Amino acid sequence: MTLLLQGLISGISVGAIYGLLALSYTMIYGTLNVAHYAQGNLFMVGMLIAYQFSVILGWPFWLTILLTTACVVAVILILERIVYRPMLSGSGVYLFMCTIGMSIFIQNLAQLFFGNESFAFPSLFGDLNIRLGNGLTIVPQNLAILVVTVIIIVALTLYLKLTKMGIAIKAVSMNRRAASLMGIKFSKVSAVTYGISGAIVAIASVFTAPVFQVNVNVGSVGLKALIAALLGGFGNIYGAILGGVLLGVIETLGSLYISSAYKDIFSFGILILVLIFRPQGLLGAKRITKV
Amino acid sequence: MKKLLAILLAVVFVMGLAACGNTSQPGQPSQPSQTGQPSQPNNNPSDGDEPAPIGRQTVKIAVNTCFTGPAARGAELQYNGFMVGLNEIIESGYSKYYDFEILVNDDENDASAAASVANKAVYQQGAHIIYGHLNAVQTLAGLALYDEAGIPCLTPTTSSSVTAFGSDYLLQMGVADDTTCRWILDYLVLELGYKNLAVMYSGNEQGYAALDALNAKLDEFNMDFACEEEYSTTDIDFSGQLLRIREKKCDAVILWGGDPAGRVNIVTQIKQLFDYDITIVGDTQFSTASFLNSVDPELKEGIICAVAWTPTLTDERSQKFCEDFKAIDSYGALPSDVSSRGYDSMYLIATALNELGPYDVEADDFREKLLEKLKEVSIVGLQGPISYTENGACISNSYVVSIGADGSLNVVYGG
Repeated sequence: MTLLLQGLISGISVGAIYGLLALSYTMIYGTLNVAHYAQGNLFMVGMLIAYQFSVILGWPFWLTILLTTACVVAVILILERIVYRPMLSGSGVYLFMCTIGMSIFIQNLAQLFFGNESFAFPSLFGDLNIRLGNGLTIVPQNLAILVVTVIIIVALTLYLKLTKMGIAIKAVSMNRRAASLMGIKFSKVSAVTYGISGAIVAIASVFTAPVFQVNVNVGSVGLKALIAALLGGFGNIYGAILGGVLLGVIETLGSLYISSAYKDIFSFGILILVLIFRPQGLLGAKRITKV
Repeated sequence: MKKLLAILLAVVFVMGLAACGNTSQPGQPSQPSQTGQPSQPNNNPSDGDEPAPIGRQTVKIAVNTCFTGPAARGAELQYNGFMVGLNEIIESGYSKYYDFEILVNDDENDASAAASVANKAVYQQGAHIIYGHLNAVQTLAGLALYDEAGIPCLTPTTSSSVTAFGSDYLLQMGVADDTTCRWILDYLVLELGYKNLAVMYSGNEQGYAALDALNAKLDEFNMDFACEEEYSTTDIDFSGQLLRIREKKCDAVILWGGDPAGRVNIVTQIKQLFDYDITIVGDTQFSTASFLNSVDPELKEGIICAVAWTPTLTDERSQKFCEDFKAIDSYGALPSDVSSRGYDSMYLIATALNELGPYDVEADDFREKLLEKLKEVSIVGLQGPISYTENGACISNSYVVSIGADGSLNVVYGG
């Protein structure tokens, strides 16, 4: 029982990381119908920037979060304005390929600026571990990630429900053309959506940096987050979190009770099953196309 | 105006991408390096006819390694060590008859890219000798081509899977993993008396080959691993594997394969999840500056690993190597033992060429002659005396060391 509980705790912890990143993917896809592949690389950029502010310059944590968020949002807004927006009128495939290209570009640029070394980002809580007895351990940093995830999801829900821009984002996600006819400025909605997504990635990168080794390759976790977003239902913010947590728990319990050699098979296997039996994802809405 | 702006941006991005594709490393020469030695006409000893005068020749060495990808830092450490050796040879005039041209190719830590760069080095660049690849999978991908073309390949990888390939043209620049695996198990079982062992190996050729070697040695003790766990270098969570090991109350866990960044995460999670002290053991990745600088003293203290050379050695040559290495490293970091393999490789090449004497590098049998000499000569490198058995297995030093809280490496077994 202890083993199962510890496995669940670990699975939920890593799932929260997947979920946070998945949330940033789903935000853009849900509103603009764009699968922004470079999101994992922005996560990496966020970590490297946060490392510079927090460790190299020694600035306080709150300032690191603010400045990292500002930097990542600036990067994603530049991409949105000069790369993605001009391509919106074309085929979605071209835009998707473009996001893959940007992913490679960002990765290489980061390598030029930051090199190939890995850096340790100190935990907010030092070496503190919460021992619950019976061999159960909770890592405070993981707990902080869970709390931040909950705060972000609540804040995002309130923003989308209560603010004018939030309602405009929802309108665009339902029907872009109709929203434009109702006077909603698409370019503004697009920029705000990318900005929110960038802010989520930045916050995720600062809080999860102590869990990773900070280097130019950490963006590869974006692929797992993409799976989580698909699992939960691409476009659904609660689905992203559910997908992330589910993926984390399945991976951990699978390697714990079956075999660690098949860890990736569990993630991709469950994705294939969900796509076969519920293509819209666990919480995604069915798309009905009128013919 | 918008179109003009779009074109300008496209040009900027293309230029950026082109810059990213440049594999030359900061602070290091990307241009071919020449020893600049005066020409010394001499004779071709291959035939008994009237010796023809041959001027100073240039040997092309292709450094094929992963300058990009997840193991890029390892490639830098390897390459910088190689360049320190080259620079030293140039300054001292150690190479009597040959200059060197270094060709740098990026295998992207990918097997198909490794095959491509092998092809490029052999058929386009006309390399006479290969130094690379960093990892077993890429080395194996290139080896078939090097064998076919008859080009000697000096590789820093010590994976047993590469040894088992059985190439006539391969020279591993360190003691193979199957030997170090045996020493580590000897130490754990015979010296420390451990009976309950676990292994975590990376899901690639290096990890699988090490697992085979470890199991073969354990058979001699009539033992089996209590836990055999695989992990991927892209994983961030290892709790599934570690909880199984914890459940079996293992005395020690042996980690083999993967990169230093993954090691830091595994060691950190061991300390978080385990409610008892387990001995952590592993390959040379634990001795790298990347690992030692990334973990707290209490995490690294007591870790046992196998190394061929450490920067903590106090002999004059090792210390000079460390200083020269730091001067060209983009982070000013200390070298690791993979760096020492790079350094030793360059000396092995230069020594073999000195033994060969003046020879036409464009002659059909030049590479074969060079290979013979590479296998014949023995050098005293940073790793100690290095020589080869008839089948190309490396005979050199390797130590089992214990890491101190200050990052010092203290020899506990082997030599």
